[in-house]
Amino acid sequence: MVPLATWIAWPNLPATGTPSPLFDGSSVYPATTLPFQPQSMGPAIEIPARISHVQIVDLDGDSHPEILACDALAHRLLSYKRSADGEWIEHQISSDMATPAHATVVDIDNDGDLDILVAILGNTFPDDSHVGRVLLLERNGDRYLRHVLLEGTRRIADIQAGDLDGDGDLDLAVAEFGYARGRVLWLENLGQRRFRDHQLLYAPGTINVPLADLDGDGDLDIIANVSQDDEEIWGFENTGGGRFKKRLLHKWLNFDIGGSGMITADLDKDGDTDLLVTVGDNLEYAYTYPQPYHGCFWFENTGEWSFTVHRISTLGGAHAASVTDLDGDGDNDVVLVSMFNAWHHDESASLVWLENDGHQQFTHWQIASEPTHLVTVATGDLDRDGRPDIVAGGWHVIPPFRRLGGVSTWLSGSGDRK
Amino acid sequence: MRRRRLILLTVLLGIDVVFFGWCILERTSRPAPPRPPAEGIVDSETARDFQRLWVLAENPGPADMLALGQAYAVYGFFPEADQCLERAIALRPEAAANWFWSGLVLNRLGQTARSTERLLEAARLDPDRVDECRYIAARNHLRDDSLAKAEDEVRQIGPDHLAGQYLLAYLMVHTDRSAEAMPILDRLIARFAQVHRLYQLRARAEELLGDDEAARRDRETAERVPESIATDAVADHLGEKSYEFGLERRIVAAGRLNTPGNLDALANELTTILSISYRPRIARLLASIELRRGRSDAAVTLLKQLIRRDGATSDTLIELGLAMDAAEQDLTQVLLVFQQALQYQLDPEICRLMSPFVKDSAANVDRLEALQKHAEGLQAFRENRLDQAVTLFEAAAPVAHQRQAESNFFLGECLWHLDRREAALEAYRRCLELRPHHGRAADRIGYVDQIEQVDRKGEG
Repeated sequence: MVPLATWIAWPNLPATGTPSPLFDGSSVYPATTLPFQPQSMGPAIEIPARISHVQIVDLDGDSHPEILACDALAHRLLSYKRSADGEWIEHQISSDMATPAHATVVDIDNDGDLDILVAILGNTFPDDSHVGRVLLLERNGDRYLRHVLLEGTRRIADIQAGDLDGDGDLDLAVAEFGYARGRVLWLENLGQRRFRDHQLLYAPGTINVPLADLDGDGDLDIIANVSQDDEEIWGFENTGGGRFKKRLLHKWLNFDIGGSGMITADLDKDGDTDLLVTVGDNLEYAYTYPQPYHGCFWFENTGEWSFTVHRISTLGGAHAASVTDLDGDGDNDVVLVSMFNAWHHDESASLVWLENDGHQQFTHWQIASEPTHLVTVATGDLDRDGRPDIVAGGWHVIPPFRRLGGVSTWLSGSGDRK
Repeated sequence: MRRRRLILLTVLLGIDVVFFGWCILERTSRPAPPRPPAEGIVDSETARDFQRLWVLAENPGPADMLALGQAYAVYGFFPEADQCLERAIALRPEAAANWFWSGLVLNRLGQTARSTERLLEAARLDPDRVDECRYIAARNHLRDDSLAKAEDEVRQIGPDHLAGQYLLAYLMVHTDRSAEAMPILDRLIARFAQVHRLYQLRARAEELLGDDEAARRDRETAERVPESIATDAVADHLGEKSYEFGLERRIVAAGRLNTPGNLDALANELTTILSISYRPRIARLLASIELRRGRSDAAVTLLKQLIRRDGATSDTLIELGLAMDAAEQDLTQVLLVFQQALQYQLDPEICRLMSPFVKDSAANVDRLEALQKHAEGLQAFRENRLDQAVTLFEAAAPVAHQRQAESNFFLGECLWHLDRREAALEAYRRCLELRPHHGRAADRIGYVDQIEQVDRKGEG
């Protein structure tokens, strides 16, 4: 009887044992004590947004900064302006732009108002065809006139403007990301909105091409963050007269590292330009997970085109950085966003700041865990209270599609500041 | 006698109770399979499949725990998948698949050392997996910045494994051993002549070796060969397996209904799938089915919703234009949609579709035809069909269309690569007449001048 009863009951016997703990690779940090007031721009999000770039800029020169955002889903460029009663008013600057990746605000024609250069990706998803463009929105009174400065290129991810050949007008550095093939270009300004393209590097996957005087010789150099077949940081030393010397500044042999962004900043305030590089892109996977090698590196400029690389964060899925003195103690702190943290866990960080102890040793503080999938961040004084605020953009193409956000702000409050 | 029997029976019964009681306790003390926090993250169909697999895995047969682990893995629940696969290994350590999938999941969790250990065990158990396991193990080592271990691993990969051989050459080129990499790359290019990454890597090696001319030639070839190398092995495995579970499995099953007699049933099933979870590719497929069923208004609605939810692409806009045309909507609006598609991507198909709309002007017809030839020429160029590309660009280049300068430039490129240098130079010059700031055309002419100067010096 007993064996029979056991045999009958066997398949239905419940499992009551204690499982071993699950692995947890999510990046979670102590909550910040700095007060922030989170806010979402625009109407409530119903559809997963794709905000590719945000920045804080006084576009119309009225001393009230606006938020400028590239909406890669609806193919438009938006600005958000704060009204006197604190409401944000959305304004569409331009539409029908075939996936704008990045906007650069500059007076390209030297007529006293700010124009906008837009890097046109042409396609959100991998595409090696010639769908990219360099677009200029020329400010003309209250309107913007659209001009194509360069077409017949692969996907364009970034454009930066500066006088690269020393002739007094503004030239452009262009990141032709492409997919399997791509280039780094500089465009020589020939006047009358004509630009001649020069190839600096043949490599797919250039994300950013910031300009800075890296060697302190008084002219602008170009830096390129290449992240596709290779994971490399290149410098193009301006040797004058439109000539550049190519220098490989750093490479990672781990080509899974996922370079995701690069900015210039004098992080240690020693008078030269350093680089901040985020790594954490996982877009090749349908479902993602933060990796231990993700995070942020500080490339400390030690002169003569050499850099000492310091890891300052291991934030999983880190995608963009901004530098500001967030706690008002006189040194530079770092704000980071994550696109690929472990979003199944509600507490995983999407926005953190790294408190600088004054010696470039950083403590992580978590500001937000939602919205998730943040790819772009900027800091600036949005409400003109003398304290830096934060704006970030969400790019939701990878599940889970919850805790969605488009353009979001975190206005700094007046609480616990140093 | 009867008492002795009773005692014996009692003892036997006691042994039974103790033994089977111990068995039951052992059985119930096993931990339940993990359940991920799926609510609100996965759709109802996938959640049901998880539950079905979970029930099977609670009393696991040999493959049940593996299946549950795979299902969790392909939907991104890697920690839960890890736990399932640990148990799958404990239940059936002789099964290579258990070790292999555990290795994949640990790779996704960033647990590189454990992942490598599992993969190498899988390779030991299943000789067919050796190269692939070693390749992923090498990538694990690179993630740990262990270059020597990575190279050791790839050196054991067979010569037929393209990604492995490419990685070996890549590591050499990037560690100042380009000369060592060159024979490997030459051999690979001889065998896989249509893979552009091989030319790009060889160009890098040549540049490092100081042979800029060879590097330039290889980069130009890389522009004209279409194939790539699959180097995301883990992503590929997860992607392939996803069709066996949850809503993805239902989508695959729906695909089998795609026969002429089954369009109504297929449309109903796709509508149901979309109501469970919005998938852009399903919306696109449903719109095409609705068009085939003569329900063009429904197709228009679906495509407009697709554009709102997933953004406009040239493909979607083409489909929308066709659906609007079939629904007999305002032709001006249809033309606008095609024009928008053309702005997003230069595609010969769009030019062809637009041609009925521009018949009122002969000049417009010529311009559109030239643009179509230009687009077809670009396709031929990218696939290294240079003779065809020349014919197409020759037809496009004389016509004043919006890409006329580019037509002349690419005509020059084709002729250049066909060694028709003089004709190529003419085409580059015509490009520069039309667009004086065309950098690549100017560079090419400058390059030719440079070569000629060198030749003259040589002759002198």
